[in-house]
Amino acid sequence: MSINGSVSIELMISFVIFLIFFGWIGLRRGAKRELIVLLTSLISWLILQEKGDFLVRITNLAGRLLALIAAGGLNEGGAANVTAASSAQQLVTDTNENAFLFFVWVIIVLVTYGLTNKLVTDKDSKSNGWAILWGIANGLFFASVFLPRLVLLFLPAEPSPQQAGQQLVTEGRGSVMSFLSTGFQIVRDTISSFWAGLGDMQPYVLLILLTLFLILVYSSIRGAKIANLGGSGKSKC
Amino acid sequence: MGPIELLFITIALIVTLIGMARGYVKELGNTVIIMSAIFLLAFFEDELTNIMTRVGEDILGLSTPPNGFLSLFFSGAFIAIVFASYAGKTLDFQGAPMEPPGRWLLNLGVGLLNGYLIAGTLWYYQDKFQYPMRDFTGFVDPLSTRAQAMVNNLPQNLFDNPVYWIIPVAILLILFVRK
Repeated sequence: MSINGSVSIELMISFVIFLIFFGWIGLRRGAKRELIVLLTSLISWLILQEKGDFLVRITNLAGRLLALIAAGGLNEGGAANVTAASSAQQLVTDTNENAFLFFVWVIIVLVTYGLTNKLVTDKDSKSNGWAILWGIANGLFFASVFLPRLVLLFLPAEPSPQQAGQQLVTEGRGSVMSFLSTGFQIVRDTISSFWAGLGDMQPYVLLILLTLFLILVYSSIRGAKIANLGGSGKSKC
Repeated sequence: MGPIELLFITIALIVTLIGMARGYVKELGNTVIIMSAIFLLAFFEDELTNIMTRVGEDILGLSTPPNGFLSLFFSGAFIAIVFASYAGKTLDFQGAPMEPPGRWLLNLGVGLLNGYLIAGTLWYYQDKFQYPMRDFTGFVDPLSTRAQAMVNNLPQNLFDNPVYWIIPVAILLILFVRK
């Protein structure tokens, strides 16, 4: 993939802000809520992709049953109505099956968000590092599902938005791995070009980063103090 | 990737895994010692090289220049300091690490840093003395492009002046004293 420098920086900032945003949502909602949403959305997505036909058949069956009831098929002498209902148009056809399954999945995710907000207490859902990680994982998964569809809004007519979006989905370019690898490649390329641009300042920047990293590590140790400096000679391993 | 890259990457990974197993609180003390060792050996490199060349040539009767002896001396001195930092007189920070997953990330980060410093320093002293132990290090002449790029980024080649290595150590020591 070849992206010029300016666009690369914009993409990197967008990618990082996207991750921060979902990390922040995760921190606000807590680890347990985010994990439940992640597992539910992932599992339901996989089930709907693999076994969606079953749900489609049930939905169509329910549709015919409703049509039968509406036509009075449960009344005495309604055999003709039964025949009419069985030949009624299906609710979910081959053309709208994907849209139907996607709609079902969105409903499941929204309901899960709502239920976790209601049923999981703040005490049980801690706002820690896990919450940020699960939030980011949710963001990445949702991006891989929604972005190929949302991009249709911005594409030109040729090829048609539907074709282009479908192409993204079917080629696997809308997958989580694709999104992640492209995102991190952009970040890496941008940092590399930024690093090269530093020129003679590189050693100083490296020294500052190394020092900041060590200070961060040290400051994360609660109650840290020097112990055993020039000590007994016994291993602390 | 050539055998020499694999060899030193493997050393770095082993050190990283050890670091992850021990935890960053203990590993940070090793980092300080390792960086101090890099500074000392680099700062006195010319003097030590002259002295040990004399020892090698005049006392031990080795060929000129005694690259094998020199690389053995510098690597041995460095390994001795690192070993002492792990098993001998240790600089240990007593304190509680942060909660996971931050703890794991810091374990990984400090482990990787120590792995880079140790494997990188060992590689540097092989490279500086023209790979005298080429039979053991998988050296292929000339180095691959990737290996050459890695050599340019070894700890001793990162900074123009070895004093740079002691700056973070000094700042950490100041923080210790302030607590």
